[in-house]
Amino acid sequence: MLVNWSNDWIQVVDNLNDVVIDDFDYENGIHGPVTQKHCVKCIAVNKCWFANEKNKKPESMEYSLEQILNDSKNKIDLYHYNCHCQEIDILTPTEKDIKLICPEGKVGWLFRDKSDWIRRLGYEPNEKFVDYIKGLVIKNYCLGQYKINGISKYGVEIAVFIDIEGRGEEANRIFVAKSGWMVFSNGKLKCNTFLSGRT
Amino acid sequence: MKIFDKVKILVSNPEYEKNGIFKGMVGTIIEAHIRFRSFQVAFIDPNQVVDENDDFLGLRDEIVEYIHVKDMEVVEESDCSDEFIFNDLPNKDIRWYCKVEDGYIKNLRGEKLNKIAYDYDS
Repeated sequence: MLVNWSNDWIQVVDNLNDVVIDDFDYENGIHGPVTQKHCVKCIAVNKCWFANEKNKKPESMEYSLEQILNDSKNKIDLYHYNCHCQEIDILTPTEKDIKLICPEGKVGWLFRDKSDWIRRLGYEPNEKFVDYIKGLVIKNYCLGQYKINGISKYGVEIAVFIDIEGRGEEANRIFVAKSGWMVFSNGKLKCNTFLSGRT
Repeated sequence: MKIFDKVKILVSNPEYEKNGIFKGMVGTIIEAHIRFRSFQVAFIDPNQVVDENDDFLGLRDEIVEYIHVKDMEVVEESDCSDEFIFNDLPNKDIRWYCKVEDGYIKNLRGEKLNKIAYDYDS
């Protein structure tokens, strides 16, 4: 059997830290005691999956030649000196590997704010439309059709590009929009906003 | 202050500004829980140039940002119920803080996060 193994995707792994972005303490988040041993960025990206391309994975630290040659006290590592994180090659995820976390509020926000837009596309603002968008997000995330918008204590924020097919009067037209998500550990994505605008 | 309330930014903050959020902008809280004493708020990107004749049917870009509760005020309250808020909390954990009332960050049990009223970092 052929194994679909490639270095198209990576997982960031810190073997000395089990805390991941979805382990937020309800009060303190990743500002808790764990940050005494690990930096916020390294906790935010720990165990997360990324396509192995620029702007689709966290930027590694760029060390100058002088730093590399002259700094013998510190170990040159992935995101900073003495960083524990490593990039591990993983199988390209399939759609069944991805789990979406969609708080009800995000569906509520979609319907409150964008019902008119959804109807103009020929859809109804209902669960069926939400499932359609979710399917597009999973498919296109697996295809690497996303970019990182930022990394902070809240996690890694990405915009997934989705192509929505128009219906009715808008049939035969494709609307390429962005969908905003946070990357959580081990193939989980948490919704920021279902439709955040055009590309 | 709670999910779906419309809120106005009260401060100029370089951290917000680098993401396109400026004093006076109005957005909507789109997540029930308070994390790092901040709500997640969605804003329409005011810098986006939209041609009336464009073919995107008026969908505008959104900026989604976490805003500290001390940095905004409610301009329009939502009709969101406590039941909805509870169902939207991560893992339906009632300990999550999710409201700002009378100067306090509170959870649905009425417990307060800040010690001094209106000093949201206390």
